[in-house]
Amino acid sequence: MRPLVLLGPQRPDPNLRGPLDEAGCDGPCVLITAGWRGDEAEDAALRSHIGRPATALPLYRWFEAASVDAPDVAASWTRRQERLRALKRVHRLRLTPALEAWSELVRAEDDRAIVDRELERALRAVRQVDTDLLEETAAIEAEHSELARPWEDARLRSRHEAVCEALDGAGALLIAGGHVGVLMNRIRFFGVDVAAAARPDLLVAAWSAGLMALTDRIVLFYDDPPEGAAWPEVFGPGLGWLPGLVALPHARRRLRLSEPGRVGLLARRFHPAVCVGLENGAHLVLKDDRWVNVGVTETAFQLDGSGAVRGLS
Amino acid sequence: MKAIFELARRVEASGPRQARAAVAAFVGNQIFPLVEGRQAVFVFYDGHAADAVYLIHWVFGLESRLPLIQLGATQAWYLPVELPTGGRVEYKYEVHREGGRTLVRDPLNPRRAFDPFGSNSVCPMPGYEEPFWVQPEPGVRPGTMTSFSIDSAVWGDRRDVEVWLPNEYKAHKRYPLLIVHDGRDYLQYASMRTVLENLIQRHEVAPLVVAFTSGHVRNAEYAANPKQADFIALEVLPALQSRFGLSDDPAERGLMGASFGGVTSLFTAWRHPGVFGQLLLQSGSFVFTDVGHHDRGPMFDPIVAFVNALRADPGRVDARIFQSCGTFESLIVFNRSLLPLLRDAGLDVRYREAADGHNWIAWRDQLRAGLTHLFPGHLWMIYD
Repeated sequence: MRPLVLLGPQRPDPNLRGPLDEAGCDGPCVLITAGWRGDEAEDAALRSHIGRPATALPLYRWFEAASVDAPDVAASWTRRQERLRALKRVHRLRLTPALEAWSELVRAEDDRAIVDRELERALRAVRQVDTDLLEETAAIEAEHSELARPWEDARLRSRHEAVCEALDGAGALLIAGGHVGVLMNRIRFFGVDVAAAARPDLLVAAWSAGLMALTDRIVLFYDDPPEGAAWPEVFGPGLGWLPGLVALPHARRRLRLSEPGRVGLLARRFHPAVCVGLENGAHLVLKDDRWVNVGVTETAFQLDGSGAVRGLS
Repeated sequence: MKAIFELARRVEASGPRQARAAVAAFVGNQIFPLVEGRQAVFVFYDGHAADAVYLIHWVFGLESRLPLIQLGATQAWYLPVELPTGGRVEYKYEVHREGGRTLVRDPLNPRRAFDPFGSNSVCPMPGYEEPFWVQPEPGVRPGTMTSFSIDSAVWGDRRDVEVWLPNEYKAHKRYPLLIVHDGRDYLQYASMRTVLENLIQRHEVAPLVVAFTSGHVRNAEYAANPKQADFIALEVLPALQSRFGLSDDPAERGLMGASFGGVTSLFTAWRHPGVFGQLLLQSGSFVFTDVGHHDRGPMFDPIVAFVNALRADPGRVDARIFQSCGTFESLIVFNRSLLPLLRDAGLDVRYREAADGHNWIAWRDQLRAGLTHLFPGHLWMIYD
């Protein structure tokens, strides 16, 4: 695994600088703030906090420009994204009942042994729906093979080359949060992942949506939206640089952590991956195959299959 | 219920002194009103004798002035009332003493709801919970309030507009706009600033600019008055556009208000179609007549004329609508009647009811549903 600095949300109090120092980051930083969308360029506070020279990769702005420079490629990309969004809408028609079946079973007061076996089957069904989504996502992407490496188009190549050049001399790549879908899209459209593969030693620091992007499976979550309850759902594959972890930034605000049933289901649904909630101040490191929070206490926790929320310290 | 009847039995079986002691002990050990399931028992006791006590409430369908029953010969009075679960009732007691009568809040109940006229006692029924998003949440980035004045040619006087800007506001950007009627009351009694800051921080609502306006002769101005509609569309809106970064898209421009404020919001969208594409209408006083006269007094005459005209041509309103009303309001009938009419005209209307009355807490409690419907944020996708 490449060297990673994994942090909780950076607002209101950033804690990125210390871990960068500890990690021995001695070169200039490369910033990706595409998740901030229209605010991508407003990185002055971040630059000031890290106290190092930094180069921004304005992926969001570049994509806007690509709509003019290579409109056919950008339009194809957008069409593919629309198909992926349609997939999620349709997929939800199977996911929601599968999760509701599990939820009904939890409340069932029949013979415990029978209910427990049915619960296991219901969980397997949910996991299968999740797997199906990832497989179908891959299938749709394969159907658009012309978009596998959009930056190879002559009109976009210079952007990818700029990415390669920036990463080549970088001491760290910093990936901020924001809109996780936009972030992932822009990273892949300009081949940042491919460019970074040439630098396996490059330190990557990420938080919030940036951290979610590093994982192998991005899970969206918000238990109490304005219209009724909602279930976490798989968004799609991440970059895979941080396998085995489901990142849940701002989990205290976004999840019903006081409901052991929901907590336990989330943990078991994505097992063997570990579901980790991160709040402002968290700094995760892997010690003896266990995630440990070396940041502010009680800002990172693991969801347990039993429904418990266990602090990482 | 059991507790009050048990107390009544004890009082009946006791002498006056023991009865007084039993009542004093009882009121010191309970939360009032007593609530169990759908039954609420309203209890009045202030340690003084009274000739009669009435429950004054605003629940449409119940007699608005209900007599309480004296508990034996004690100074305590009670009244069981069946109310819907999840409901919330504001009330006072009317106490008759020495030939006079006074309206008082429940001395046994510390829960209060405030409005421009003072405050009422509150009886929350089982299932009602104060929404989590009405209290300041930790770590929320506050917006800023600013204000300016308009020398209004329409009104011939000077009018203040308070403007709330989201924390992330930048002058060079374009934001959606919401203009609020009874703005000062929404800020003071419906916690609207806190609600906005919480919901935007959670990405449930998109960052937007909110202008709070308030009337001078409020009821006359808000009763489907063309001057008020022109003031908002022709004076307030341009003044805001010249001062703040606002979207030019009518679909990103909204009006909201409660009661008469709902009327003037809808009337403004009706009089100036295509200018405001989002309407948040709470307990709108949408009184109409099919034949004959209404019984609401002359202040409603222009409203009835407007709503009757609207019913004849609802498609003239070019906006998405969030409409809410309390089931304890007499206005529920008019709001329910308007809904199919607007929908049949092809308007996108989301409608919500709550077991509550015509009050600021009821309107506060619907803000999340309304604001997230009209100005949705990317809550599912943004993790910052």
